[in-house]
Amino acid sequence: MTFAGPQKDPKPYYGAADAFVLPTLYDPLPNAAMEAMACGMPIVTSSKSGAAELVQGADAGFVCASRDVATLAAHMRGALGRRTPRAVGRQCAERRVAFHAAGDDAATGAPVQGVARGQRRAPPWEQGAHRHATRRRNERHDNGASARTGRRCRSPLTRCYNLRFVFPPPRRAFISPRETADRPAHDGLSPLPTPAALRQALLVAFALAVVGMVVVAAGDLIMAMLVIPIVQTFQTNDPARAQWLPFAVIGVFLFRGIGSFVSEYGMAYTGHRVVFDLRRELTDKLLKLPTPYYDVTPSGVVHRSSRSTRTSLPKRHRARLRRQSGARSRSRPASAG
Amino acid sequence: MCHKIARTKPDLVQSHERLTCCDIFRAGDGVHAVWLEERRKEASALRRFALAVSPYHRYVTRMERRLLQGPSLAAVVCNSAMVRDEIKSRFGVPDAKLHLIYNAVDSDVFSPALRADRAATRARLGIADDAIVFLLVGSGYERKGVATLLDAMRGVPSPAHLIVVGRESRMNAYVQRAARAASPTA
Repeated sequence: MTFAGPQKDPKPYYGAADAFVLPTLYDPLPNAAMEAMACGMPIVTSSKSGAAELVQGADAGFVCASRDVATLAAHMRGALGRRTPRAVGRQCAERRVAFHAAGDDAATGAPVQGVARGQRRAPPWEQGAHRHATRRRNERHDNGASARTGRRCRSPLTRCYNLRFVFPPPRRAFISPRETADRPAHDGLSPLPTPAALRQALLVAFALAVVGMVVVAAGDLIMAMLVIPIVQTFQTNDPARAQWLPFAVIGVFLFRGIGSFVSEYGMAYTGHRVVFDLRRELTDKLLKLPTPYYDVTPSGVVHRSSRSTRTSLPKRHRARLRRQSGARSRSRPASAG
Repeated sequence: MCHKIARTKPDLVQSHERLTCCDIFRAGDGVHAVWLEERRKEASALRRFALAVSPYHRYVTRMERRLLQGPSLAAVVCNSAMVRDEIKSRFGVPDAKLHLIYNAVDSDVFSPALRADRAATRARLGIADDAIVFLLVGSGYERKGVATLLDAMRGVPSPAHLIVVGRESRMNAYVQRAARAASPTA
């Protein structure tokens, strides 16, 4: 792939290429596509492009939905078809597109053919962008969450928050974020957003909080600076100033108030979320400890966490159990794992 | 602007921007509300929120509505049937006021004769002669759908090459994305 950047003279590029592709989100009439048509190139464009009607009218290419990756790729293959590039070149030389005639056709209101062809929604595995897939997955769970809680949440923050309280599917007592990451993305069992989505929500909240703090700081500064005109107004008794000063003071306070709300909310959200995650991981771990562990450790003792607990504990505890049943000594939980 | 027009009282005002007091409006940028709607479709929630509260977008869509539903408007020049239909269905502008005029292209400048330089340009860009080359010319890659195209390139049999010509403010992000799309593991 070549990113040529802005070019004063794009003509050589038209000459070098075999097909012109413009899957635009919205373009009333892309001149570039018309230039490409004039060069006799086959065009692949989107249904939200003004060039679509010209392409259809002149039978000069294909039209698909603007974000439909799979259909776009199919059309790109189709634009060249079985023809070799050289044959395409020859054909281009023979055919010049008369798009004014094509335009007239479109202007008579004839329906643009084939636009609907591209309407099929690509399945997630055909959508390249991972972010989209993640979002769709979250949305699916979001729907499930709203079905249970009876309300729909829109923002990413509330979405994550609500999802936490969706009951996990049966047979699984608890699903940690770490496990969610290990599981394949499409199994659809996890009611939790991916760790990436969580981190993103945290980052957003934290960033908002920082912005809020900056706003508060700026508000304080402006308030201090406002003292100067206030004092001067009292000294000179200037009516013009007296008119706007109250509004300025109220405005600064509002500004500062919004900032402090955002910063406090954001910081509280971030802090609670971090603690919540830690606690949940701890609970998750305690729930999954093998039963022999509680034979040797009082259940009230919170074990000093160890990375090897899950894999190596059963064997080590068997040894410890044997030893203790012989010695009848009190266990020292801090060194158990 | 409008109070200047009211003062000088010209015979005819043609505007290419969304100006509420013009007689003829050329909708060269299409319908802003439709563009926003298309952008919102796959945007993240934060981005949707940013679009929704952006003073610029709110201003432009408000002016667009005021202009197209205003009493002073005599004619709208659309450059594609798509835009014409959008204005008609969205703002209820009568057919009589809507005119369709396509842009023209100089077919002496842009013609199949440009293919004479094909080999030279390909050599300069380091592209094999037998590669299938797809071209996208346009600035502002988000609008032009470059991201979709990069994904679609994976579905095209090699040797295929994509050339993107045009300005983009976040060029680095797209170059990285292209590198990811090109790597076999992605």
